[in-house]
Amino acid sequence: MEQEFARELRWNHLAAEYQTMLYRVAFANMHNRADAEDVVQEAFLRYMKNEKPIINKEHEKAWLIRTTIHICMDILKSSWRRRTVPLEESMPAASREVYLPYQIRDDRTLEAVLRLPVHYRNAIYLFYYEDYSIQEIAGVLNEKEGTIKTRLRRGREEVKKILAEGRPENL
Amino acid sequence: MSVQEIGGSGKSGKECLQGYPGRKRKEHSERFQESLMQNLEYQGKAQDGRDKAGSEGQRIDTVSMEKGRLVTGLGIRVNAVTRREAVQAAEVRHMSYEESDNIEIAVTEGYTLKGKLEGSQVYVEAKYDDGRLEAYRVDMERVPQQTQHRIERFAMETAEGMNSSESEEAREEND
Repeated sequence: MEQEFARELRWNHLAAEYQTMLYRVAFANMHNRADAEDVVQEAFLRYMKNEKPIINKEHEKAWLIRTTIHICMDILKSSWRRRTVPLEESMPAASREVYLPYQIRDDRTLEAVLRLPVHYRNAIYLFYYEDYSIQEIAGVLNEKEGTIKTRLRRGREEVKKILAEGRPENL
Repeated sequence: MSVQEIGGSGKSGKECLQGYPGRKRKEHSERFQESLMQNLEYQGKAQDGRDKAGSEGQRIDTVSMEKGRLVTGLGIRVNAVTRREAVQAAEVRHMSYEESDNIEIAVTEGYTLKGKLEGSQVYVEAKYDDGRLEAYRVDMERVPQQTQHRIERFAMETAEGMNSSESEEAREEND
């Protein structure tokens, strides 16, 4: 009984603290609401089952974001999904579904960011829209800071190209 | 005084905001030249005035504002010593988006700006995609209305946004 109560408390804490942010990260990758919600649920479940120690709040947040991105990648890589879900169908106005906690002036840029190849997309999304530092992104994505800087620079060039051409590249 | 970098890699900024890092030396020499020319100009004007007033037996002791600079009647431009720039470097305090009154996300330019109105000043934090983080304090009383300076413009937007939302709230309360 006590265990169940503790579990419920933990679950509530996770939902209150991270649900919205993780949903945005998942949506940036999945491009549709239902999949993004499934991904967040799965990330929470993995967190509850995780037996490795979580050192602090920063670690907890990074762990959850990393897991969320990994789940997204696994789903996107699956051959079933590639056959059955054409990504472009859900793309128009996708940025309106991101529900950022602040107003953005330019939907087109966010739309272009969501269309970036995955390794650029997550770095750019976390840096600009979730206000993560390069160091934090490197921790979340398990990459070197230099790699993240390169992705930010190249990703920015890709965003410019997408905006200039008005169509996606390398989805 | 130019804006200084706070922390960061110290990389010169071809990708950073115009009018900021990487301009210190150039700006200094430009300012000096500008200052010299203005001093000469004002001294010339003041001399004319002194001649005229002197002949009328009046004392020249006026202080006027010209082009936003404080100029004494004697034609001595005091801005180099006493006039402060609207934008001053400040200590970075890692303000979050939630704490900010205004946010500018410029993916294609490679930076984000966060602003918060604090009395008559706006605290601005800039984050660049090369890893630099800088903070500025903008004195709104010193920002020219038609400024093209990106930080000053952003600070103006922040202040205007906050003032208009405050006046809307006041109006709603009155209604």
